[in-house]
Amino acid sequence: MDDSTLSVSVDLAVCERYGHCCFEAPTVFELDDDGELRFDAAPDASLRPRVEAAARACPVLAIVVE
Amino acid sequence: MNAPLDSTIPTMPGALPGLGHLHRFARDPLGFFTSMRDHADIVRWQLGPQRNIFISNPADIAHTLQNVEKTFSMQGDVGFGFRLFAGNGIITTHGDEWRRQRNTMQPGMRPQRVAAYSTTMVELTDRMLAGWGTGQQVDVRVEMLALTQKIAAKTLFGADVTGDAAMVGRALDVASREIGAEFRGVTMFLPAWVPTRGRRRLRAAITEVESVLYRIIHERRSDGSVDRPDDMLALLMDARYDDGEPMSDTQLRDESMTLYIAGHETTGNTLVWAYLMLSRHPDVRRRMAEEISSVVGDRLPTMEDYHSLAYTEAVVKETLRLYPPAWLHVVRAAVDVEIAGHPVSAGTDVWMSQWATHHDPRWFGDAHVFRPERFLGDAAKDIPSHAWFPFGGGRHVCLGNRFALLEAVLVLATVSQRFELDVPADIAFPPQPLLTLQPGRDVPARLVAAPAHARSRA
Repeated sequence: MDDSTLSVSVDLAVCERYGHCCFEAPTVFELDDDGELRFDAAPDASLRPRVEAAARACPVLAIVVE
Repeated sequence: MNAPLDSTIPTMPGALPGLGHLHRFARDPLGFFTSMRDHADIVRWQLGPQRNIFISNPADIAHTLQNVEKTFSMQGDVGFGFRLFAGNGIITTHGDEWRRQRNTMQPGMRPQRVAAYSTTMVELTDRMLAGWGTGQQVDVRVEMLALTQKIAAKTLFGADVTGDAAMVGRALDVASREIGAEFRGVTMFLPAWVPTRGRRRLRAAITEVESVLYRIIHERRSDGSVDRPDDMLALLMDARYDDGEPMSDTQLRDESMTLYIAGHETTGNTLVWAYLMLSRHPDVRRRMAEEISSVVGDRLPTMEDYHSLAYTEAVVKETLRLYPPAWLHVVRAAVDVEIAGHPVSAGTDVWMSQWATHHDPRWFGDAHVFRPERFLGDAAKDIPSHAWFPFGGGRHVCLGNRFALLEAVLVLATVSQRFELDVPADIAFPPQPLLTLQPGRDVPARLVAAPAHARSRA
């Protein structure tokens, strides 16, 4: 894996679409009109603080950042 | 059955036969929580006949909240007054019933929806300012609670409550005081049919608020227009459960009451505390005004500005730390569990207090000092997860969490362009743990022209 991007994974079986991640990192996570979560699995490394905040804010701890 | 529980957890001293620690809790709940916190991270204590534990370490709070709806439930006893107000709404239910209600309402708080509410938040704030003038004296509590009430009614229910705001405000003062008083006293253990003077006052106050809700619901039902608003009230009224049935009228009342009250009383009081803190900390007020001035300038603030108003958001977060509207949280062990290495038996109520943990010097240096910088940049990373938990956590985390932060930031930004609020320095405002944490009295302030505004006028 390249150092300039992060590796983000979301356990969609655990995710309950609270959407807190979308507020913390709006360029990485998005709930579409049907309420389904879309996310960038390899966002730019400069977004680390926001993505980590998103993982922390998740009420069901479904987000892992590496 | 309590044998494993009794064995290893430290006991809080000072229990009286029959009463347990009720006398200490009732006299000064915030002080009592603080002394339990200072006794140990996990403490056994007794409220009347109910045996409880109190936890204050963020790691244990995180673990407990993240296991609600698994090994913990929201069945802790919240008292007659709270049940009378919230009924079987989303705050008081658990399990399948809670999940059904939460799934119905969650779409109303999706990021796009919350962003759409921002315009209303700013417009209603601007309308409030149109009635303000430099040199004028205002009661910050009355102004902020009326404002947040109008914002909640307009965004969630599409309703204008301008004519009702004062009446509802007075009714809520009564209800909040009675629920707070009952929560702290022996009447909490009286069966629901026992009439007390406080309960009569509470019932009358709740009836007044219900009359406004029923009017709003009736207006929506008789509105024949095709373009019905796509708001929280529509989600509640259009919901169809697995059996095809809509929400019952009682359920609709309970949920709309919860949204209406929880949706404004908390943020209203947060803004009151924020203005008190800003008045007492001119350096913070200046730095916040500079940020708003450079990000927003003279136009009205928008949702897009929110992400650039980091210092203003830190002011809100620091206010929520020092004066958390929800000052306690109770969950019940649904099965035998382990907390901080101690076995805890099923049925035990587990208490946490935002007040006690937010003021713990182990997690916040100079814990009693108002210092928004703690929430900025690298400093924020040093705050352990759940050392700050004004919105709770886990699956039952506050539904309006993001709505509230956005609203508080946008109100501060809109007001700050025009006015500063000076609260007399010689008045003390000891926090009162009522339904929410409140100043417990009027908060007089003199309106001063904001420096940026004065300049642009010159």
